[in-house]
Amino acid sequence: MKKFWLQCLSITVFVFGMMWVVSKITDLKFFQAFDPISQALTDFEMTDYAFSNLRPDPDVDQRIVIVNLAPTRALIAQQIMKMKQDKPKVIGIDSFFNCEGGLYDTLNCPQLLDTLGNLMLANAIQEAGNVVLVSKLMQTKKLQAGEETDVYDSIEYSDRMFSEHALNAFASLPTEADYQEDVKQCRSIFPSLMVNRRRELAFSVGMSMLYDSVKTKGFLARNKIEEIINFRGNVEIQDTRLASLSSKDLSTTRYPIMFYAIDWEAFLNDEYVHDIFNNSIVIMGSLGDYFGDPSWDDKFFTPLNKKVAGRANPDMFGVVLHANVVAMIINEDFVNELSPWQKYSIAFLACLFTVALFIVIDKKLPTWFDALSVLIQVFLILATSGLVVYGFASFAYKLDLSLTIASSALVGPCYDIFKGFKNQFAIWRKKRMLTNTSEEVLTN
Amino acid sequence: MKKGRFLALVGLFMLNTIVHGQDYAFRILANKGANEIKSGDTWQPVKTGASLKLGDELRVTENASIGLVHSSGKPLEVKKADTYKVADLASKMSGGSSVLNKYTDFILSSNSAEAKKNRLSATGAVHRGLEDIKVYLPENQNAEIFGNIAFVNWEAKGGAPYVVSFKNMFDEELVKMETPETSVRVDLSDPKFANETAILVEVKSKADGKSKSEQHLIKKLSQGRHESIRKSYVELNNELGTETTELNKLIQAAFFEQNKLFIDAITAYEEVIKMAPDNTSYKESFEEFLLRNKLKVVK
Repeated sequence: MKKFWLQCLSITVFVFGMMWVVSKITDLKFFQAFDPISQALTDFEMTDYAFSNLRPDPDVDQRIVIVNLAPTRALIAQQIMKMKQDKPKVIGIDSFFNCEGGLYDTLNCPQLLDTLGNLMLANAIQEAGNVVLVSKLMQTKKLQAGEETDVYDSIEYSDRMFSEHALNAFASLPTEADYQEDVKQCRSIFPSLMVNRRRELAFSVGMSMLYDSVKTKGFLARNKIEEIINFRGNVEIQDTRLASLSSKDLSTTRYPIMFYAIDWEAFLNDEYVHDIFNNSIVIMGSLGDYFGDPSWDDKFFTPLNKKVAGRANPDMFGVVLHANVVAMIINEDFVNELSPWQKYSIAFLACLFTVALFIVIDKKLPTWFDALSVLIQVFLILATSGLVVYGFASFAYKLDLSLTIASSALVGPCYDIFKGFKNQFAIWRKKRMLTNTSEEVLTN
Repeated sequence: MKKGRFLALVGLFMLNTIVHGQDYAFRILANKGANEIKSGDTWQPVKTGASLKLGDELRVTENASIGLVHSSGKPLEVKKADTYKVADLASKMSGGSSVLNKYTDFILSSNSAEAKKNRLSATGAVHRGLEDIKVYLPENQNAEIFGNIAFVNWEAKGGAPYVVSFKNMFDEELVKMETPETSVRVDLSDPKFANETAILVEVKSKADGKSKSEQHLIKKLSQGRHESIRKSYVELNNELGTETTELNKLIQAAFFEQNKLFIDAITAYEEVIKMAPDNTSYKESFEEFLLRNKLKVVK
């Protein structure tokens, strides 16, 4: 029995050795130029199926109200003054009020000409007293030259007249995008980061902190550098003025309306019931120029997208993404993950028992080995993938079992290779023993 | 005795919960378009956050949509133009789907949608020309006019002078004006417009022949609506008095805007700016009016 498990262990170690070799070869990217499938699936994760299609319908969080940002600073000031009367607990504004690139002249920054609008906005933020403004994490040239990626030493704020009366929190999100108009995919946030020895909060975390500090501190106490967002839903309103579009389902996500949402014009025209703002979290940000605007400005790909891989339309405005994070924090509806040692242990044990099964089949049913081993591998891969989706859909638990899937895919070929080596080694040993015996016979 | 009080308290609490639980069937999460709710006998415009009871009705207009949240907390989106009974919508909300049901739906939906797709909806082209001259007049559905005076303002990339053409529905030219400015005033009581209920307006740059605007409509109000607006307008003017002040004109502009008579509102703003050309706040109010009603787009 001991010999049996020792054999299982050595084959399992061989499988993991092969996986390491394969990963090193793929790291060299020899075949990437001819591999469109893996390029298309780079951003794909099995849990995206659960997010986009399979999980139970989430509930609407009626404590969050999203207001489309008006086009001018004077109108935004009016919006803030108006909503202040309804006593929201927090007002988050997902917009910068500065001159991009630090170019403070009226040619590059015409909004400087609107002095009245600027004064009105600064006054409205000060009067409201509970405003959270966005900032942006930056790296100085010195830091950029180094190899550090997620370390930041400088912050871009809105102009001082606005930022000094607000809590400033960074709206930077982990994406692969190089600039704002680039293609952006977002599935996680950095809850807080140290910048010049000071702890800076993410925009959504800052709003949650003002709303419910106990729950937010509990969220931060999880002490995770990066948190997966448990997306609830979207605010996605289509414009179907063309008759050909009216009968089509144009929504890119399964849950198109998950929060209160008011267009800027409807807000200023008082087309809402005031009590929805009372004690709520208001997030003001861009939902396009108007409800139904198909603009891609500040729009992200998220795991809620019905199309989980390949080329697709972005589905969620940045302001809705922040609302999803706030909802996750105040509902304590977090996504849990396996720790690295758990991932390795599960993969190792799954591989070990599969090898044991293969050895038994090989001994008892040698003629059926090839067919059965392939069937077992296929079953393992499908079952593990199903478990990943089910675990996420039902328990919001992200089972990252890619290592288990990889080991299941490689265990069959590796078993054959190992067996080949073993047989060859046995032949060599037998030959050597025969040679030694015949030499001894001849000598004697 | 203590037990009795406790039970009464629990009973009251439960009654309160039941009453509040049945308070509404849906609430409006988001609204786009001129949708209406019928509560009792009257139809009223939809307001975000408003409650819908089981006996109410909901009217969704073309190119509109409503996001609702059921009392159970589940969302529902209604997009198809129709009149819905709230009770019917509520009946759709019962029961949640299991993961297995969702998986089946997902498989079935992904098999059908792509195959039936119209693949020629998008073009490899952009729109140009119509944006060369942007006329600040409303879309056709809000192109009605109550008074006789209309101001046509525009923003142009092409140079002055401009030619403004007023045509009838058969594309016959009624009046043609040439101006170096970016605004003209037209009097619809002119006999040339007497027999026309709908007038098409187009602005061209004379300097740059290719540069022209989209065709806009100015439509005279129907007799019935004209009469009802006139009554309200007379009432308003009686309250404002006979004096023509800047404030009175601004109030008139707000009245026209409220009644979606944007062309008349523009005329009122133009008149108030003419009365006090040095007062920049009127120009700002006019600018905000144009932005608010999407007659002008911020770039």
